[in-house]
Amino acid sequence: MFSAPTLEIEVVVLGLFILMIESFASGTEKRTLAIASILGLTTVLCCSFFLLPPPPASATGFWSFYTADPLAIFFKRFALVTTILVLIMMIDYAPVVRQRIHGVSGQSGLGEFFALPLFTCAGLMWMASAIDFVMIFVSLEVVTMSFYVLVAFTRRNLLSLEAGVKYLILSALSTGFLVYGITWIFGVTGETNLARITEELSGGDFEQGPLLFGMALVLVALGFKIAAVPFQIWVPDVYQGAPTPVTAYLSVGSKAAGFVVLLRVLEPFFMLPQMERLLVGTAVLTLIYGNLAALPQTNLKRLLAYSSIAHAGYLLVGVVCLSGEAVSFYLVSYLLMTILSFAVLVVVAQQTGESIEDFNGLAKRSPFLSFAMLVAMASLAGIPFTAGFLGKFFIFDAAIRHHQTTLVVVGVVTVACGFYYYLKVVRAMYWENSATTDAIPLSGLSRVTMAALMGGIILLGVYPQPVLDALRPSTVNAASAAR
Amino acid sequence: MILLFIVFCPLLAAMLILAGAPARKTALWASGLTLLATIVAFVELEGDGFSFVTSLPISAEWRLNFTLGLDGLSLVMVLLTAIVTLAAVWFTGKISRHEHAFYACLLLIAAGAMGAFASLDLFFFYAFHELALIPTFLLIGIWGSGNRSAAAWKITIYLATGSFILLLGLIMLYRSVPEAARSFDLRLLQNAADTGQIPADAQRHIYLLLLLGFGILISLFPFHTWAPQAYASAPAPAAMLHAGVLKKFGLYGLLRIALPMLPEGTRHWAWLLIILLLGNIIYVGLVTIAQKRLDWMLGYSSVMHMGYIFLGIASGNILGTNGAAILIFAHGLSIALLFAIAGEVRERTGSLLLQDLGGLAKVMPMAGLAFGLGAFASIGLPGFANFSAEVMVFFGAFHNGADMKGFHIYQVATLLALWGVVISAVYMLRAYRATFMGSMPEQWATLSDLRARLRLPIGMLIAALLWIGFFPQTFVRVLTPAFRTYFSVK
Amino acid sequence: MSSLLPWSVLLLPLISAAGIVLITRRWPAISAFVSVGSAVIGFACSCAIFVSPPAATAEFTWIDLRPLLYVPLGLILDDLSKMMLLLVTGVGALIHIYSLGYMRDDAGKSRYFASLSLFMFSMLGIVLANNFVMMFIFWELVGLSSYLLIGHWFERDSAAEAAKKAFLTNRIGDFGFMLGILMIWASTGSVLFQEVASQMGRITAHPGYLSVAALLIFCGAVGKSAQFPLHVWLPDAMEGPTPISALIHAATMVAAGVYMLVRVAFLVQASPQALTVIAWIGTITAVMAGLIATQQNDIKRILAYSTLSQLGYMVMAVGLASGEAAMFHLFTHAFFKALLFLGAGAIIVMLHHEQNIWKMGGLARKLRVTFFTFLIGTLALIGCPPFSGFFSKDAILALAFEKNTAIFALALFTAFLTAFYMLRLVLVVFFGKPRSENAEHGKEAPFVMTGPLLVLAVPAFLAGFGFFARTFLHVPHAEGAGHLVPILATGAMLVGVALAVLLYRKRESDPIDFAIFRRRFYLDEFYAWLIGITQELLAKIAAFFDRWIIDAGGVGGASGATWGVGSLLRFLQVGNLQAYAFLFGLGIVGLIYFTVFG
Repeated sequence: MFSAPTLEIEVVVLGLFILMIESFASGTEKRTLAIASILGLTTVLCCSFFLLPPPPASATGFWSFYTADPLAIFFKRFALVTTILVLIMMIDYAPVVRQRIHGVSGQSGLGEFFALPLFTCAGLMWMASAIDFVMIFVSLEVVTMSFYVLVAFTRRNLLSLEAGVKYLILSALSTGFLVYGITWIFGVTGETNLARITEELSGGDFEQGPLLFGMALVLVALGFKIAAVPFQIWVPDVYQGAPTPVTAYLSVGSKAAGFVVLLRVLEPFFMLPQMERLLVGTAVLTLIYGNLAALPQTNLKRLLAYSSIAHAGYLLVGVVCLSGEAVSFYLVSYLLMTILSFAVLVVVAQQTGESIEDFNGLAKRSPFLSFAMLVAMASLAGIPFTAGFLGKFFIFDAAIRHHQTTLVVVGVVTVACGFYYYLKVVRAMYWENSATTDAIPLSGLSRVTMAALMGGIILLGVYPQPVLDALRPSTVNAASAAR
Repeated sequence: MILLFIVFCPLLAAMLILAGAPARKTALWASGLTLLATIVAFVELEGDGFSFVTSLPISAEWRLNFTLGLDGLSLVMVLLTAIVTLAAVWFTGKISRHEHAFYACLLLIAAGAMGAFASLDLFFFYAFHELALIPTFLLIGIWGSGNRSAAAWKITIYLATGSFILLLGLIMLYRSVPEAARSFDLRLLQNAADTGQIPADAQRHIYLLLLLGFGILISLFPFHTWAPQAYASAPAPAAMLHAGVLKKFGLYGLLRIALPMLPEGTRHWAWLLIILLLGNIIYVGLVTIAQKRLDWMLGYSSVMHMGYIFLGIASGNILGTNGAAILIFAHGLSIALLFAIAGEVRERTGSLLLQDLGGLAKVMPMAGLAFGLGAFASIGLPGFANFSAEVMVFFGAFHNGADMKGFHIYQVATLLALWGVVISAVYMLRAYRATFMGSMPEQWATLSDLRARLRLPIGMLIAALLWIGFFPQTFVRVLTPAFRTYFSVK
Repeated sequence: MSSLLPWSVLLLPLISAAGIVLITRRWPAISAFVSVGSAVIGFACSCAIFVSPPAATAEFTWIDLRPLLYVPLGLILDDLSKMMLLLVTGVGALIHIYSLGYMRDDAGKSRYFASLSLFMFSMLGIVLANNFVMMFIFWELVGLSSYLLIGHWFERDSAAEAAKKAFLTNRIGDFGFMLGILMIWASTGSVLFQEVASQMGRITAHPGYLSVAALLIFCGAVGKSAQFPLHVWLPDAMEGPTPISALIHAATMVAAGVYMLVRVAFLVQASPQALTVIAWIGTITAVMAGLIATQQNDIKRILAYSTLSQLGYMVMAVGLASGEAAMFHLFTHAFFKALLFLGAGAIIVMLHHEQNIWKMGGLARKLRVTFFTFLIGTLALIGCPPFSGFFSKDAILALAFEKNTAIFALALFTAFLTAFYMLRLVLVVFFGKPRSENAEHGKEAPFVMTGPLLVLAVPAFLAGFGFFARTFLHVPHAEGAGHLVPILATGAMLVGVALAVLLYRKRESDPIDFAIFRRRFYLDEFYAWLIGITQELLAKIAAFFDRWIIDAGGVGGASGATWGVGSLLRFLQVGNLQAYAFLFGLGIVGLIYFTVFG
């Protein structure tokens, strides 16, 4: 049996270990590193199922800024799975990295490429457990740092470099605001621990203005992480510029972590009327912006960038209703379908390109890939019998339960837009004709992975119970029930 | 047991075909067996309530069960599906590419429709229909003719949006019931509704959503423009299955959910429904007259006839609902037959522009006879099911609030609908005259008639139409118990 | 068993039709035999029924949704229907036989006989129906079979058009019929003739409602019996084979309207306003058709218009509240008009389908039997005593004389017209010298065709005598009129004959020319124009609206708008960092403003 924190430590150790091999046994074929990290993470994932029960919530010391409640565990696993999948994707992507970094050896830099995600993963897992502003800040930084490198990794590629710079500066900006906000909140409540802040606020004697000001600043940073309007501005460029696996990682990993933190941070502040109004506004804007701006896109990677903004909108709807269940399920489905679509994109893009036209007639060239993409797109669009549909189902269900009529109406309209631009890809693959009809090679590992992802999407589409069970009993649930 | 077979036989067959089983043979066998099973079920069905109920729990958390069951109404729907599916498979000619996929799509549509009609669970009722939509889109998009991409595109967006709005309505319905009674099970929901647990204002909102959602799926005026285009470029079997069966899902939904569970909403929005359905009958009817292509004419006519079914639903008495249900069945069969023949003609002539055709009955007597029968059925000539259904619809609608002081909204609506019968006769006979009668352009002199073995599906469709035309009581008997409850509650 | 006899009469033709379509389609000879057989047996059965009517007949349920609606399929057997039964099967059987000759070497022989049997079935259905809905069912079926038979030579454009026209015109009439049925059902709660009759009290309370309902029912008759203004289809219906014109468009189907009105006499006679309208419609039709007939040159069209005018008489009689008189004329007219048409048919066949009377002439010597029978028919039609037509027409005239002088005058005028155009026809066709190649070498028709002529000639001559009038229906003896009416009628007839002889004896071409009559009062042109500016125009507008406003405008517009907004949002992505930082800043300011001060 392990104690929860050991998981992160294991991951970090694994990362260092990989780096060691990279530097000392420089002769090794780099793919092995990736395989090694995948295997390592898988072991960690297995460990996560044999954890000691966490001490009572009102603990002090270490456990006062680190929780191991089901939600945390759930998202640790989430992070692990994501990272594993991203690593698999990276193996497919390796050739591109090679040609974009003309190093001394044929495969220089690959080592870091495979190692860095491990540290990101560790950061994400910390974030899932963070219940103290300080902790939140630190883990968030760990994640961001590693992303700085990853985004700009293919440094000979201008787009990638530019993306890296944009990400670096803007996210540094947001981080600054995060710290600033935390200080304000600390100033008002004299606490950094969320639980105790809650108590303070329930006491009721505090100046609202400064507190709200601090909260707003914190929200800026989190808004940046989850790519919510008006802090989504960086997303399209960075997503398009970054190496595709990294993009996937960004859009799934860091977004998911962002939402967990958001759920935790908001909990104490939700008694303030402004909060809900603010979040509803943000959600509406995000929904509209993401979906409408996605309509005219012709580049699939960019399209997915906008769609990730759009999905942030739906997730925010869940957050407004403070329904951890809906949000978590949505995130899981989002993980499956986004990774799947990016995985297909990685493979196809190497043959043809990233624009939607490049997918014309894919059905003839590679039925498997096109079917995988079909499933992914159907799920993203929210067609029944896919995880994506149930995700939206739970979200709208929560919204209706909380009488968020505006959100529901906007949601429906935007979903209609969603059908349009996701199915545009399907149309390209199945109804258009391609110039060439030569088959597209696909490694066995990715084939298996994609099959698994498809299986997951469809399984959760018809049988959501496992995920719902995994979350119970969850503090967030209790909170939502209490409201 | 038998019901499970009916629902899953097409599904399994589709899987087998995708797995490489001989496409046409498998499809024919599967649909044939399904039809037999359905007929057996029809014979065995007895009494009120639902028979053949089988249930399988999915999520205790959401009180979600996979429950199948049949009462008179759903059985009529299932029968329609079975018949049209067999006919559609049979009429499928030579498929140049992806033959297996084509047949699989057909069967998937059938399976989806079956499941939707047989589900006693709100969630699966909805989900099965969605399942059936996707193959429809593919059929039109991949195997369609003319501007298939645009057509498939339009129908996809329309129906996807429609079904999403519908989904919202259904969720709201599910939510509107107090926590204790909350369930996806139609029967439990019905009980809750009967015991007045759904507040009136909620009913009004939900009904509007359902009307909108279902309406888009049924091509209710003014959301109808997707239909003719889609049917014009769809391959004949796809058009048969969608216009004949899948489109009826919306009407079934109105009959099964909106009408009985939301009486207040129904009453409150009756005026709106009347106006829209008159749009279907009169306005779309006129549009149909102006069509210059046979397939577009058929597409619009199918839109127009939805108006009569809506009229039956709106009539608010057992006469009208009986008529509506039977008309769904009748229209499904007749429009399927018409699309089938039109498809055969298109295969031979390559054009369905009315001015290019003419006198084809000379070279294709069998097609001429079949199309003629279909046409006369669809314009409600006595002897065909459509007539007996329309009679009930008209009597039902006219009965609503009739007194001898004068005509009120329902009487006026009936009057206009009756005039619609004249309109439909105008465009049908024109099309028939332009296609099969009159002098024949010499380039058609060499056309061949239908394959002889198509006599069976044609005969089957005609026979079913005539049977219900002569003995509507066959259906009235099984439908009445289902509908009695609707109007006895209030 | 006996209770099934009427059903077998009704179903025999249906069976024969079905059998022909399903089985014997390939063998025309057998099909013909089956059809003729069914007709003859039908006639035999109806005779049996007439002699010893069964006590009760079986009744089947069609729709049973009591208490709201109950529609049985049941038969009614009173004097009226028995007489009609005899008439339909009798004339029908004869014409079946005649068709054997007329359609001997026609390509679609099987189709023809199948449709003929279908017609017999539908017509008998109308005769025997015991409720409104059932009658409506067969009403429409008759329309269908007439459509099929008019369009028998479907590859002829004119035939195809005529068939369509006939069906659609009838549909318009049926629209009113159905609406009337609905109104009656809504007020009495039943569609059964007897029950409605017993419930009449409920409606008579609302005279306005009643007369509207009655007139709507009458619409059905207007369509089926080709009364003004829906008469336009009947002349065109002559595109069909001549036996059809004789059977359907002279003897039986067109008379169905009159029969129906008599059947629901309890309804129409309850509303004086309705009666007046009906009477006048009949009169107008009678006069107008008579006038048109004087200027037609196609032998069948002349007979068609004379049919219209005679139907006018019958409807007039109904409008004058005497169903018996109407039925009497219907009865006699069926015989002599069928006779005339079959005669015309014989001529047409022998002249290789020449129908223009000015291309005939001098046929009296060549086609003796035909001429002789045709003459009898003519005399009966123009009401020359003691031929049948004289009595029946006299009954109606006497009625008019009693009830309404204006109508009487017009009826008398029509009698004159009838005599005039029929004599014109006879003179031009049978006398003078042959005016065409075909007329030169015309010769008598085979017995299978002349036989029926001879048989029909007998009732055409005798049917008017008291014996028939008493056995088959109870014709009122016009009191008060005395001998004045017959004298006037005969006088009018003689004037017509004299005028015709004066004008047309030994003529090569028509000496008089009334364009307005020849062009049928321009009514067809008027209708074409009317439909053009109403239905067609509306249809075009609607289609345009659908294509460009709803589809392109509404749907396209909405999606276009969203698309536009979307592409506008793209411009936010200018791509340079300063701009992003600036927007970021704006966002923060906005956020803080909303949170703290909002």
